[in-house]
Amino acid sequence: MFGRLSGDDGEASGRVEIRVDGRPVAARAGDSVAGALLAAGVRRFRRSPVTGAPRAPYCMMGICFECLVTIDGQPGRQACMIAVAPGMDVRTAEGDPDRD
Amino acid sequence: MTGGFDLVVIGGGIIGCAAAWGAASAGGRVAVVDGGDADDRASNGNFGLLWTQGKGVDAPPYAAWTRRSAHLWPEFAAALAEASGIDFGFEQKGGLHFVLSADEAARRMAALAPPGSARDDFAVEFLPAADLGRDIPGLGPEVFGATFCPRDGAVNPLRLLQALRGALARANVAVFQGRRADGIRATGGGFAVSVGERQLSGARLLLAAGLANRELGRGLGLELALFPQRGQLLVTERTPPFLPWPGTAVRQMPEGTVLLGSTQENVGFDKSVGVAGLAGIAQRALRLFPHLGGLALVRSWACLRVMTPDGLPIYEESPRFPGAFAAAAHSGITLAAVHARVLAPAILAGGLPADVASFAAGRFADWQPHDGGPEH
Ligand SMILES: Cc1cc2nc3c(=O)[nH]c(=O)nc-3n(C[C@H](O)[C@H](O)[C@H](O)COP(=O)(O)OP(=O)(O)OC[C@H]3O[C@@H](n4cnc5c(N)ncnc54)[C@H](O)[C@@H]3O)c2cc1C
Repeated sequence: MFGRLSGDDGEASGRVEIRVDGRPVAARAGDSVAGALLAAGVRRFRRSPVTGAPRAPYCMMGICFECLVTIDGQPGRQACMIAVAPGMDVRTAEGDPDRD
Repeated sequence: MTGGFDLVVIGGGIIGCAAAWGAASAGGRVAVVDGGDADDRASNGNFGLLWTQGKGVDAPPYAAWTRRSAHLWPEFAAALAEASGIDFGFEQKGGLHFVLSADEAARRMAALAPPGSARDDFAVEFLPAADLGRDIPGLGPEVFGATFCPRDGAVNPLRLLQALRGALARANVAVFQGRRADGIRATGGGFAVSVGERQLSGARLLLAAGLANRELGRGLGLELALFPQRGQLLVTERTPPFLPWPGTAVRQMPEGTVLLGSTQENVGFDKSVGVAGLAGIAQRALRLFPHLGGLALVRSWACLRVMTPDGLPIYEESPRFPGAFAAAAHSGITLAAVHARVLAPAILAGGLPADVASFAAGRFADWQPHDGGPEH
């Protein structure tokens, strides 16, 4: 559903490897964690603690808090507001995200 | 002239919208003029409680007026949800005020449920922590108990406003959003309100502009003793449900966020937030629910209460210009139902309801206008 506008896979901006639910994911330097996850096909970031419904980023600018993930062991981080860093460990609510 | 309205309402916060919808529902032709986003807007930043507990302990007419609203809320909520198609989270299954010591509990119960007070559906009872703990997981060890009133409740205040605006549109109320009333003139038998280039004419006028009522009232011979009182609030990220009833300092919204509030500060027209105020709120909340300490805070904000010297509402008709009314209250959410169902039809018919006789503006004749600075 989401793709990068250019075919650049990080050659120009620099490639950053992170781990998402244990899998290696290639991102670009400067990506937000949310952007990198969406580009990598992650669709479910968290689940509603009330209904269990799957949730994904909505605003991508720090307002809606729909994109919360666990980053380097710290839960509840805003994936859209944090830049990827080499070796970063990201956990979604899914543990095992579906890819479509 | 755009005109021939039965009622022109200045201000589209909760009081103006509730009154406008009530008047339209009663058959009136109504217009609402609602200023800009930069205005002080208590209706956009409040806690959303429908609260009777402790209201009017020393002022029986206020207790009665509040209770009348609580009685009207179920019908008002159902009609508004139907008219707007918007669910604003109305609930009225009781509310809690937590206390941390036996002393605090005794003082509160002596005030709210003195011996011999009526055992009606507004009767406040004390629930000890051991009982509360059965329904509220994570209740802190410092909590001594809570006072509980079965008639208290809550709404989502932003959705309530959205619902009213939707209902106004469907009821063909003329709403001028983002427009200020720049001038009000009595025309003999009515009023002309200028909104930019436009002139609205109305047989009756209701000032419902919150804190701005003070300024607007002067031109109509109404001295309204209103001043701002700041409240700071916090909201956490969403967490699994743990608190089935709304409370005065803490309520969990249906979506799972936890609302924490609120300070009561006399700092004039200053809507800034600060660490001191917010930390105080958070510390109190952590004593009630230690597990909240693990949650991220997603937002904080401050909002100004529309306060009067005795904390009770003001309803007044201009003696100089009959037909011009003003309404101001710092419990505008709680009172929305009675404003729509009782106040508005009465104003439309040309007078204030007898219930509000003791809330006249004249009781503050000696008041020296101030902006609620720290000296007050
Ligand atoms: C922190 C806090 C918590 C609260 N919690 C609760 C609660 O739990 N329960 C409860 O019942 N109440 C609560 N309240 C009180 C409640 O929010 C207010 O009583 C209510 O919002 C007042 O509504 P209003 O319509 O009078 O004023 P406002 O919401 O301030 O609306 C006034 C409107 O008038 C407009 N206006 C101003 N000047 C002009 C002009 N010249 N022309 C046209 N329009 C104009 C403004 O744009 C604004 O929209 C709380 C308040 C605060 C601050």
